[in-house]
Amino acid sequence: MRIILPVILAFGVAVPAAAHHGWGSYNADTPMTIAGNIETLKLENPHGEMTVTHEGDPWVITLAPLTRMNTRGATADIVKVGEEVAAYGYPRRDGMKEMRAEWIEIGGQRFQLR
Amino acid sequence: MEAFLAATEASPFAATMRTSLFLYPVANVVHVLAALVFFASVAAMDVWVLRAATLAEARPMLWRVRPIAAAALVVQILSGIALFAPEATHIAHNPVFQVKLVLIVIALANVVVLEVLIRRPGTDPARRTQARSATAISLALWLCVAAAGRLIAYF
Repeated sequence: MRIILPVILAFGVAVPAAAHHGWGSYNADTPMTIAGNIETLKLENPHGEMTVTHEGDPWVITLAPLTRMNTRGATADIVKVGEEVAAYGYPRRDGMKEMRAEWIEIGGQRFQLR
Repeated sequence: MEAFLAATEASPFAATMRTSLFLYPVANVVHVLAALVFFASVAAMDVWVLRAATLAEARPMLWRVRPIAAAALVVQILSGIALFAPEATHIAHNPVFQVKLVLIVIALANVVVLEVLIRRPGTDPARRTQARSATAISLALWLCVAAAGRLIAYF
């Protein structure tokens, strides 16, 4: 107890917060669309993500949890590295190049991810 | 610490939690259900101590309910590890998660205090007052732990 507490607290001060966030961390007032090829892709829990280059920078596009991706039809045989994708969503409020996708479009098919 | 977190995240167990369709949501549901059972049994014991005329009177009921609370706590810890491992680095840096851990440590220390107060023989009224304070603290702390747990996803 006497040791654990300071360790946890010191740890909290030493490491800047980089977290996982609800929709509130994204600015819904400035929606954006990113179009390009999927460069990296992780279809996993608690939510997937992919990277697509936008205006010269790699953007992380946050997707839905695996079960939701599947029920919406955005399965691994459709969402693949190299595929051309258009993603509509909201950028992070803190300016990091990450967007939470409201929907993605691949091969003319739109998948709602909210 | 960073190396430990990275290793946890890179472990086959964490990878399975990430890639399996159902394991993560199941762990999530189990974690919530165990929290309900845990808090229900803790609240039953705390209220019992608050209402009992003497600590001796409260003991038999406490001994009966305690295994349920202990079992639920074990399920909480195991399902908690399952939820933590796939995103270990991310979650460990989450300020609300750190607050939650500190609250758990304090709440468990409070359990030890209560245990000592209740086990001690005799009918000292001051000890009963101390035990009642500890149960009130217990109720508040465990609710705060649950609130912090739910808030991890928003920070």
